[in-house]
Amino acid sequence: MIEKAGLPAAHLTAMTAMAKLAGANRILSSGLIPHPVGDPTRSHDEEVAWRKGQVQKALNAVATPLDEAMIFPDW
Amino acid sequence: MLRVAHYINQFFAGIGGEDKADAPFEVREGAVGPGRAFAMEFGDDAEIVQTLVCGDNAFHADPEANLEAAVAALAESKPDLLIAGPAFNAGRYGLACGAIAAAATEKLGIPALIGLYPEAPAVDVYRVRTVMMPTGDSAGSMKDAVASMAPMGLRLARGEPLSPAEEDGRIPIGYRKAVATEVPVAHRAVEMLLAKLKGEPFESEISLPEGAEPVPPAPAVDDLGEATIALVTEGGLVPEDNPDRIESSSATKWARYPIDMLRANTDPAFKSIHAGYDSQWVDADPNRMVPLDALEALRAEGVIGGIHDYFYATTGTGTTVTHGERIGGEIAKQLIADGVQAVIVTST
Repeated sequence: MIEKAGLPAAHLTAMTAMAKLAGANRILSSGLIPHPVGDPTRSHDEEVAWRKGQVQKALNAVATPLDEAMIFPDW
Repeated sequence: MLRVAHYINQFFAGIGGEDKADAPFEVREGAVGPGRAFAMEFGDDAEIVQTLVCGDNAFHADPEANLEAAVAALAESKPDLLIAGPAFNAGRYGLACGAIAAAATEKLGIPALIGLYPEAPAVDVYRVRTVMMPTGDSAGSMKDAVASMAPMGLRLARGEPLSPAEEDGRIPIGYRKAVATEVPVAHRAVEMLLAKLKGEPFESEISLPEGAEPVPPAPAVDDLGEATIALVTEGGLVPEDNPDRIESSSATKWARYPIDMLRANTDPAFKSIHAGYDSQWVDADPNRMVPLDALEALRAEGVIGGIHDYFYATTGTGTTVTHGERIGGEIAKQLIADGVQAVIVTST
């Protein structure tokens, strides 16, 4: 609904197929179901660095012009 | 006696709730949990010979390996039917049921049947690949679900052909079967049109799918360095006293909270009230759901212009499409009013 209203929205989730079905446009595979932007297996500093990378990918996605819904490749 | 295999999740197998959602795939002999109700309903016609069990998170952590294990187990037991669920309105469980049912039929030729709430996410994903009976939206309707699934299952196990979905009381598979009729199509169409013009009832021969309409993508952000970014989540992250009383499932509400409050994360601390996932990792560090620390680091580097002063939260489990669309629309309106240029959404 956010995209429908005209704002680009990057959707970070472990369940990309469900995001597509629900009508999301800028979809990125991230993390696991209980923590889409967390990775408790890493040390705190490594986790923050990883999360920053995921958020950077989401920012790239909202800056990418699209014609239709897309699950972004994991760059 | 017909031989039936059954797939259930960790909850229905009695292993535990969200805290046990990592329970690995296993095979048990005979009926477990709801399988016993099916066995009663089958009477002397069929028996549950095998129960496949997998935790909801464990399944989706490695679907390929779990499907392989399920197919191997079924190849060995060679049942006449696989029943999965019923999974009611569950997301992960329903999708696992769909994947296993589809694999049983496609890889081994074993007929399969799932019970799902018609609005459950797995319905649109798997309806063309497996047979589904509609159920209520929660385990409270287990008795009715078993009563309607068992006879359909016996028919599939015996290799009897399907009747049209409406006659069978099934969830439509979504394809149309050609049948010979007395009245040619042009006549039927004209009769329908005349009925419509007269305001009389008529029944279309075409049903439209109910999946989400594609949304035209919003224009991309031109200059991230100037853009204000907002954070939105369906992960149920709220101040620990949940001041807005957002529901832990089937949400009808959303709220927004200052990011300063989230950064402080003390008095109140933030926690997730979402009933659809184990929130221990998010409760320990809310950045794992709403990535404020990462976004602030990127702002400090000048990658983005600014961060919107609030983050937005609701609960996305069991939430109806109607409420979901309203909530999304209301949040979007607020974001636009506040001058946000782009959004990062996280979901479980």
